Amino acid sequence: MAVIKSAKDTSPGALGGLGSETPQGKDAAPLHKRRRRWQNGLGAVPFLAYVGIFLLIPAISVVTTAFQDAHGKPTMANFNEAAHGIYLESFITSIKLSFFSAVIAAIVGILAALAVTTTSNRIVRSLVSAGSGVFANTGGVPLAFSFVATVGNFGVLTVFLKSAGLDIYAHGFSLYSVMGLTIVYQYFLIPLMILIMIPPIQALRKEWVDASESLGASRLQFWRWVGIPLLMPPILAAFIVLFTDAFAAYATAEALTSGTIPLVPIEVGSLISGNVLAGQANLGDALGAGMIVVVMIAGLLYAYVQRRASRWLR
Amino acid sequence: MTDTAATSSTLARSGVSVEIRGLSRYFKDVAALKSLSLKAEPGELIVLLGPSGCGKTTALRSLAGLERPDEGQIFIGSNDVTDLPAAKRSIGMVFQSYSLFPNMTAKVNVEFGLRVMGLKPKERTQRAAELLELVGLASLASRYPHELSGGQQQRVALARALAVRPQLLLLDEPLSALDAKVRSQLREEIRRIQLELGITTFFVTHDQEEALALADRIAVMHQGQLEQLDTPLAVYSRPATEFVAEFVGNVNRLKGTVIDAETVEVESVGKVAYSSSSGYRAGTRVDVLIRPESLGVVPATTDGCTVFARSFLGASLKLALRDKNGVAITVEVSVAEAASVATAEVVTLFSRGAALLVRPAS
Amino acid sequence: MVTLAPSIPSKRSGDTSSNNILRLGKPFRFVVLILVGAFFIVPIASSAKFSLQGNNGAYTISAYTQLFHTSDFWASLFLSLKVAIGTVFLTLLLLIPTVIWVHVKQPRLKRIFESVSLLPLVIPSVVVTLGVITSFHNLPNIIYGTPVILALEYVVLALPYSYRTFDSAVQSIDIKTLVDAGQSLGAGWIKLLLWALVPNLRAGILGASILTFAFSVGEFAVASLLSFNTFPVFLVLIGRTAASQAVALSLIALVFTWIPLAFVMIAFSGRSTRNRGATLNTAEVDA
Repeated sequence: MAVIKSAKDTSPGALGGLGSETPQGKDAAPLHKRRRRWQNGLGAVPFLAYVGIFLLIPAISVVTTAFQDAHGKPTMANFNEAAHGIYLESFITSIKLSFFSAVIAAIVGILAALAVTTTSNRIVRSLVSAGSGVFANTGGVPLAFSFVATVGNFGVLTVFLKSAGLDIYAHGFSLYSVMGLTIVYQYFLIPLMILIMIPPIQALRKEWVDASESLGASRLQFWRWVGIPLLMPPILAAFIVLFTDAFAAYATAEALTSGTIPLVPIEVGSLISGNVLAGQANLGDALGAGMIVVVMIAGLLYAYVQRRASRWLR
Repeated sequence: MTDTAATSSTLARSGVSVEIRGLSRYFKDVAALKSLSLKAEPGELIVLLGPSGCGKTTALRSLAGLERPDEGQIFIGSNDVTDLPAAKRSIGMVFQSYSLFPNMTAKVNVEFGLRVMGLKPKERTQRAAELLELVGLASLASRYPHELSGGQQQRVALARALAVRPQLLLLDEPLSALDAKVRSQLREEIRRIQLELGITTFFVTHDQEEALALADRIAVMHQGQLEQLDTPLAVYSRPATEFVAEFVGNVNRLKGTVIDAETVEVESVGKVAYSSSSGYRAGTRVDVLIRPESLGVVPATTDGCTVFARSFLGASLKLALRDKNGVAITVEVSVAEAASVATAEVVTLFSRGAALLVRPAS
Repeated sequence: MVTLAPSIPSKRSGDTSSNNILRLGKPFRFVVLILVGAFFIVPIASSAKFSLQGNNGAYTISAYTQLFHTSDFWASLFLSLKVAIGTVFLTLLLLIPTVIWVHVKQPRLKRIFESVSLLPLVIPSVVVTLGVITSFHNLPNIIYGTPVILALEYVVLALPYSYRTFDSAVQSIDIKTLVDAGQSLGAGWIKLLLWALVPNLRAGILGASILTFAFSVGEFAVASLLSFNTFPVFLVLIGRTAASQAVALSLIALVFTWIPLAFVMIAFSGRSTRNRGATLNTAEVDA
């Protein structure tokens, strides 16, 4: 902390005083000190204000509006509406979709991360980690269309399989369904899982394996008592991140299904776009508030998992 | 100490002999071990000493069963364990560092092997408490590894290794990650516990001081082979090979000429006693290896060695000299003797002990 | 777990890789990596084939050439580029002083600012859009009714990526020493920023810019719901009528975002692995 103090003494201006260099003695007046402390906090203002205005105000307004009717009077009607019929169904579908997408991606991602971390081939390792970084950031509309080109009605793979005697669409598969979305979501969820899991798997030390073996433990016992307990917190945390990512995804679903599958983001979207029945003015806000609640529950779980793990993590 | 004695009675067991026969291990055509053979007597502590890459760790890991030898056999007691996996060998092993399971407290770490054996929680707890007491960490039983210092972690690792009453204790440079003070403390404690339990032990290190202080016998290894297996005193004072002479302790290498079967004339020093089975003929040019403490100095006026550095080591004084040909010579003299040469610029050397080794001149 | 940990590897095999502490066999690695790799390559290859396929089965590049004659295509592309450039500019303006200030002046707040930058992950962009409509519809038209609002929102929504990247760049240089050295030489804050800090943070600035740019160009939800015809919105529209053109366009878009992203990943991967230990770090979540 001493270092910080000395920096304060030499440059009282912080960010607020950009360019205004005024050398100061150590015996600055109390008023001056107070101003300095205030100025030292000034650097935080633009950033926090920006996030406040363009993220928090909209989010809060959604929540408050959700409790109001069209005339601004307090009501629970919006939530009542949101918890019934198609809207309830959309929540269930969205949660199911996100859950299963996350489960599959988690399993595949762990296997891939294990495969990558145990290979001694440097090229494969850097290829996979860079690739994961790239693909995890892919999403949205172009992704949807590349899957249309692959397993859509007339997709390359669909046509190929058909010519080989397997008509996947006749066997109940459809890209434009929850199942299809689950597959498409894997494209950014699996890389995300790989990215998250590589560091904790790499942190498993050879000494632990050796020690457990020298103490008479079998491979299974090692995994039961050491490997899995150590990997479980990051796996759970990663799962929650994947779930949230899938839950909030809008572009891919909208581009693929044009709103035919009831998913919460899609419903909110169509309410915004004006496909609204009369008397549903703030229903979208109630759905939005519901989404925030779901994501926040996931966030709390994440924090809980992290806290439990922090007992033994440095 | 009565406390410890009581504990030890429940822990004590007689050691077994351990034998390695013709052990070889190759890594991609490079031999890490070349037909290594040695035998430890029951309850003996053998230190495997050598520079990094000499094969000592490979030898230890082969003993543990963590490494499969390409040739050779390993016996623990009278059992051939060569093909047994580590889990079935009844060994306890302590690693260099970070080997404690981070998700378990010290106590649970110590209990690990007992849990594998299927002991009841109550017995496990009792045994773990016993062991933590033995290593002096009873009060820190509920700490997680990251809340313990490096030295404490290694004590827990030792307790964990011993909890399963192994027949053989293997220590792989357990002190190398610790700082000097903790290292020498823990070193003595490991020795005390090992003697108390009478457990046959192999200890790997590259630190010759550690080896000399700990070992019943030292196995000096070099390039996958055993150079010498003997007591610390013998290894230090009667090295079998040039490598051992130079690796264990400090040594001067000086030129000399053989006078007879017991004496050699060494440049700048004079007559030095030696013993050799090689039977050098008088007049043979030889290299003489001689310890710094086997040399003495007296002040001289002219025609001697120049003193260019002095370092005070506490009980002795080390002088760095250069003779008239520019050959560097190190001499270590007692403090009492040091007074006489405290300010001398030029000194004359004399021999006060036998040469370590005499070799044909290189 | 049995598949993860095959009991004992073939004895005395040549596999002495020290990385392979979990003793997973080669077949396991091979199968997993091939299958996962295929999952990522097949859609790209299919897209290429699909976009080059004419109606009669012959190969043609007409899907690509037709696009360039559409005025809507150019309009949407330019709009997206304008918004993206604006977003990058605003992001740098906000990010550079803030992150440097936090590191130099209030290192204690590092974690808090990091968490703030992750907030957009907690609030789905659909919800943000809804909030923008409910709370900003009274603002003057110049902000709310124009694509400016897109840039303003994208700055926030891309923060989890941009903040993290720039933050780790600042973390990796000894910024306090640089600042102290600069000040001891009498440099003012502006000179310090321009001459000492920015040149040293080039990689971080570039990385944050690329990630922000890629995000902005690809963003669909906000733009579509606020009825701006950006490139992705145009893409969905055209997808309803001309599939092969949409696929062609998607392929181009993917490749053009992947190249700079790959650059960022490679440039930053070495740095990120060095500083991190066993803990799960949210950095990996967003990297």
